[in-house]
Amino acid sequence: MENIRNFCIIAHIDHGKSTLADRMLEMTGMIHTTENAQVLDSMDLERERGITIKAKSVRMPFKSQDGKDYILNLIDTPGHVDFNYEVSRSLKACEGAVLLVDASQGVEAQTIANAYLAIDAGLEIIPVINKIDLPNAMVEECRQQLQDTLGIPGKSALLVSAKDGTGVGELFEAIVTLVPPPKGSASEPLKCLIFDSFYDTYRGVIPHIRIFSGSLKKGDKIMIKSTGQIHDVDEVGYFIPELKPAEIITAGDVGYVGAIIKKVGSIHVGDTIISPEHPETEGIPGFRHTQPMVFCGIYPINTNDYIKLTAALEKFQLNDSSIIYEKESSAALGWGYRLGFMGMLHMEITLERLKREYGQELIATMPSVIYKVVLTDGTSQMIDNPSKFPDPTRIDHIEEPIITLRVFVPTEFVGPIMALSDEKRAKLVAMEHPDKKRAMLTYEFPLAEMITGYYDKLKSVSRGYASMDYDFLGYKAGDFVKVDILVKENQVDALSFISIRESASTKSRGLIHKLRKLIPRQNFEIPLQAAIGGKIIAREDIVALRKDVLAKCYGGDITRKRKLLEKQAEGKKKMKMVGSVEVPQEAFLLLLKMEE
Amino acid sequence: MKGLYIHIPFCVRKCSYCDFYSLPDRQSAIAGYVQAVLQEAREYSPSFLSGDLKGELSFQTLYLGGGTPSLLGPQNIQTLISGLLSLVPSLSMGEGQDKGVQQKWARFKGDGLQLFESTLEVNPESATSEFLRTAKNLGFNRLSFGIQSLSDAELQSVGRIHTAAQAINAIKLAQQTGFQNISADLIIGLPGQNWNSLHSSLEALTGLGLPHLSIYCLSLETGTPLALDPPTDLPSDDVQAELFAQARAFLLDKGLIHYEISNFACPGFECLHNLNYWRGGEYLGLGPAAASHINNRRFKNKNDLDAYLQNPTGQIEYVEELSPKDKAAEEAMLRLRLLEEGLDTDDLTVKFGPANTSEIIRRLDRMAQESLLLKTGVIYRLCPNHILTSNPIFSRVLADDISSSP
Repeated sequence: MENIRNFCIIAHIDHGKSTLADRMLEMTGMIHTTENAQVLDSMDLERERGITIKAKSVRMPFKSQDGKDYILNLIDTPGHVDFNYEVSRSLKACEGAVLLVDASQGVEAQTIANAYLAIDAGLEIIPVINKIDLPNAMVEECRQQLQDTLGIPGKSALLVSAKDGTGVGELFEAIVTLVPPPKGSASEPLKCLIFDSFYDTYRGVIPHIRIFSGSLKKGDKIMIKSTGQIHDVDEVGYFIPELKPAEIITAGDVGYVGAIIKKVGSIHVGDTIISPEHPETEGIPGFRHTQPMVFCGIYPINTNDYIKLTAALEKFQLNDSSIIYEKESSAALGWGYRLGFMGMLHMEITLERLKREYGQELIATMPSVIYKVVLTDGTSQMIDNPSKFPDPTRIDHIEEPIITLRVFVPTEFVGPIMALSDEKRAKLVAMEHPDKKRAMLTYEFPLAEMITGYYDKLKSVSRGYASMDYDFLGYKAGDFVKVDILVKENQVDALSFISIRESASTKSRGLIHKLRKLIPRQNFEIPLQAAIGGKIIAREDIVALRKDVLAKCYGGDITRKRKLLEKQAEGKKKMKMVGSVEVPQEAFLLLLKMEE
Repeated sequence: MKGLYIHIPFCVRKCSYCDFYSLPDRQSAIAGYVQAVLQEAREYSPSFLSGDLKGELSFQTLYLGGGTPSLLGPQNIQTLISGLLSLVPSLSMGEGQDKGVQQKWARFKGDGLQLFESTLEVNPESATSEFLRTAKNLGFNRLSFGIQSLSDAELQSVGRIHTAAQAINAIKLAQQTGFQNISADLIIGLPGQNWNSLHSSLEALTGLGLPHLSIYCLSLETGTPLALDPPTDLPSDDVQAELFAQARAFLLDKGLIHYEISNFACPGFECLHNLNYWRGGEYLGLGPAAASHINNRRFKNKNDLDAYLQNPTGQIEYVEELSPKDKAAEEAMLRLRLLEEGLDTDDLTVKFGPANTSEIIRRLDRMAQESLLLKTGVIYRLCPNHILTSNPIFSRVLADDISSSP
């Protein structure tokens, strides 16, 4: 165990984490050439977006200058602002963290957030300044920023170019020297942390584990601490990065355990695996638990696909336990699920992955945060779905979630950022200058405003230079109303939304106007209305269709006529019925992005 | 009831809205074409019949459509009709008195041996007195004039080669030749058209005593010159709908019956040949692009004159045989076009069996509840204010409703 080092790399997005991981794999002979492929980012979507969504790990052999052989377990962590939870659970499996800073960008919002998570987890921090090969590398500034913002001795930072390999050898030596070896004894009762898992069609759920004590081999029995379920181990092994079976894995190791766990949903990240012979073994203290902050409903386009969607979600949750879901039904959309996400990006990625990986077409409703509704009787309810709001007469007041938002931005963009944030009801609480060229703005920010396009706008007004990070702060009362949307007098529950009173009618008019363009003219007039309680605050009408007729009979060519009509009928299958009105699926999809 | 359709795919010039199969500048091929049609007819005639078609051929209606059938001229039409009569013994142009026979159509049951109706499409510019006389002598008892409009500006705007005056003269000439059962086609939605111009066209045609009018809404068919380069003064769909409603009111007031979506007639002058299409009846089409419906199969010749001239009997492009359920839905959809007669679901069930019609009847009932259809006992009719928006209704007849929410 003395020769094992478990570590992760933490960084702001695009600071070169995946490139460094690839270089380390290459230099330890795990892969031969990288050919621009980022091995740990195996999902297409991750590559497209240039971010790592799923944590993965890999075991690398390393011969140090001290002449000894070491096992280095690199645990990759996701790099986006929504994924603090995933970062935190990966950190738990490590003893050290490589804190990577882009020499041309300097310390950014997530550098700080991730560094704090690692410090809180008690990890040894190895500061590294990456991309020193770039002509605009500002090594000295980076050293100073590390010192000033994090209290990390900047002078000790290693200088690396993950791209060409400069300094990576020294980094390996530093990991061996500075990161403490894992503690724990192979002879004590089994105790493993589940820090990730994936689902294999043939072998069931395969947990990724860090063993803190004891050992595991084929034929052993394991018990899941929280549920008491017992499984027979049929394979153990390591990641190289693909699965490689081993005779035995022991305390200090990072690896996987296959135990034909067929029941999707029986393995939860953060849980502890113990031995049934020692059921009294204590579970590893919980991960830093983060609650989902953004919610939306998802519905199959074809109601018959509901069961397929259920299965897809069950599998999905295995690979991303930060997603929570529960059944819900909508009068307009039928049976579906309410999903909770860590943030807006998390939501977008998850929806895309659901569609891609499981071949599901989906309708996603407008995202919502959790409102705290305090009733006149003094009790309160947490409501994540506008359509579930209690009757307004029973409501004393409504509170919304507020986050602490930190924005790092070059000083020339401070003005536009402040203007943008003002629009979003943000309250500036502090402005600091980590260095001469940059400002850090700290806001109390309504999460609801965050999930409606703030991040994209932040990027665009700062020409991509702004970075941000956020934490949940608390709840704060406001003057909120629930707006209902009615299509030909039928309320469309999936389109209800919560708004502060003063902007409710502007938002409603925008939504109604969009809806009018999305719903085709039909055989009757269709009034579209937005209402607060019984009061109509916006209205547009779709006039009745006047002409949709096939006249000429083409010398009796009925087949052609019939095919045209069948094509129309086919098009209708992509419609959802709201009362007697056919509403195209796109109406729900596009409205999701309607917030301007 | 069976119809015989013969397609005449020749025109002096293509109108800019037209996507029917018809070729300009090929009149030199007409004589050869007549022989080719006769050759194709011979394939189907009793002495050459085989398999499914054996013994099935006897027609009650004949329709020469196009293109421009009047381009045949006296000689060619003589050759064509006498050739057909010699091939199909059950075909006889004899029973020629228009109106008496026409009035019996509603009570007509079963196959007759004689033609009750034989229609010839004519265009004003080629309706010479000699041609009309020949047609009359051959036994044609119905003419359908391609008038489209009686505004010269509208006619020119879509490339028609006749004037309003020519059209009126041609109709008068036909009446003088002894034709009473005359129909005219009109188009709603021509460039620059408004109610004034449409009204005067209707006024003139009804004033001439025409007992039948077909009124079509202009649609921009893919690939036609009109669709490629639509004029700016093309009336919108909403304007078309308004014009149609006004035309309908005008004609109803004149005592015509709106018996099919695009067709108006004085009682007794409905077009039997076309009624047969809407009633799911059988018909044989000869010539390129002609469609047939025989023994529950629909088939159609290729749109290729040259191939047809070379090999008139080998042109079938596809044969479609629907399941009984789809066939029942198809017939229901077709019969709903008959605004007065409507769809009798008892008749439909007798023809296709309850297993194949119960679902359709459920769909019809749902639409009756939504006031899209009018239901009287077992008869369903299109609600008059949905005549021009019948496509969404018909597609619901053909296919399942969207599944509603739980």
